[in-house]
Amino acid sequence: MEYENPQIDETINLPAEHPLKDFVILLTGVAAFALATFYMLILLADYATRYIPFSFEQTLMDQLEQFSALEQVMGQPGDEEIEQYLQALADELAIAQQLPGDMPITIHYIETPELNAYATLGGHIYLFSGLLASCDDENTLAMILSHEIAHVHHRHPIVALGRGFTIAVATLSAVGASTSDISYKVLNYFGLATQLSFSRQHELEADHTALETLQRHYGHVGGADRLFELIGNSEKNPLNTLLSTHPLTQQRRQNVVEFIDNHPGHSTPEIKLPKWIEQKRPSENH
Amino acid sequence: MELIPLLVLTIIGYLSGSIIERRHFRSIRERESQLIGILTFSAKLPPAEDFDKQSVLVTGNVVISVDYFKHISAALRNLIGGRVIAYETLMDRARREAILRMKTDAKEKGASQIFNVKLETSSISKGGANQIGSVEVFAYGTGLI
Repeated sequence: MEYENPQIDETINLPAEHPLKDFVILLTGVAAFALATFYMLILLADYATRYIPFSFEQTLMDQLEQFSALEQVMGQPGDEEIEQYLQALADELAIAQQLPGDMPITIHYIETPELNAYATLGGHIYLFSGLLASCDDENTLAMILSHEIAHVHHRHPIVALGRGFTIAVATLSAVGASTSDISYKVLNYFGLATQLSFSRQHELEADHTALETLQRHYGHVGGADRLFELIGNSEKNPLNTLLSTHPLTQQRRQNVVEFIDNHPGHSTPEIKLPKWIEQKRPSENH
Repeated sequence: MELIPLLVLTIIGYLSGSIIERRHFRSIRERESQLIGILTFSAKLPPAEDFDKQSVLVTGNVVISVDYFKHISAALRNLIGGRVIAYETLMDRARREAILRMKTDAKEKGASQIFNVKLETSSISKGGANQIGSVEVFAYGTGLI
């Protein structure tokens, strides 16, 4: 019997689809599904996290402060007198904002050249010396403080934490607990993108409440536009070739203009910061 | 963005991988038509008339690496399920190459028939997380001279 090995037909084992087309379909499929799921999860987290009582936030923060963990992360505490001044101003603004009495604000003044301020859990607000150094008057400072107090008022810190935690658990359940895996990196990217788009909403909400606070306390919102000028300038990084300001900052500036149009206030001149603060705070370095 | 290096690696992987794969397949088809005279059988024993022929072990071995593009395609496919198309061409190449090398070995040793052909596949990285894997295929059989 004559045997022979024939030429094998390649269409049997080799796939007909082009690998690139397959990859694009896979990626868009995963992206669409991930974004839709994360969006739903964030809405769920937003609803559910508000049931966590504020007292729980306070307890959590007290425990963290016991271990001085926050100080290591945030930085060296700044001048005590400045901190007391800021605390007094914050308490005034909290009253103007009608913050509930069981949500006390605690101001922490930190010695760091950064132009930033954070509101975290339990009503703790961290203000960096760099930001104070850029403020020329009390109104701008009040805008910053009111904005952070508004974050606390609307429970933004715990909601943001809840969102992040929900996304993290969802991603890990889909991928398995190995965070170096490529599938984890892809899902994590979509998770972060969804969270970032939601955090804009928080910033705009806090801005609006802060503007109302300023209007109630001073009768006008004089410091607000100056603050966004500051932010806009600090974003103009000389190394950054994209010269446009951050779209969120632009929108916030626009909102201030609209607010002024809707709430014409009697313009009292801006209140200068007390002289002893100007002497004590670090000098501006721009 | 930490995705930029990933993107660059993927593009490099796709471009170089597809060029290398095409060239490899061309070479495989060429050699397959050249070595078509060496017969391979999966049967354990040859027909009775060939029992007195001299026998020799012939082997062919190949290790092929996965490029980054295939790695990412497979990772995404692992999330969803279904055929991992990126790896199908890889396995086909590896199998055919191993058999060709076994046939070449047989030709050098003067064997024109190979019986009891077996293939063994193994993964070099054993699927460790975030490691680019390689696949090894080993073909062996009894050559009859």
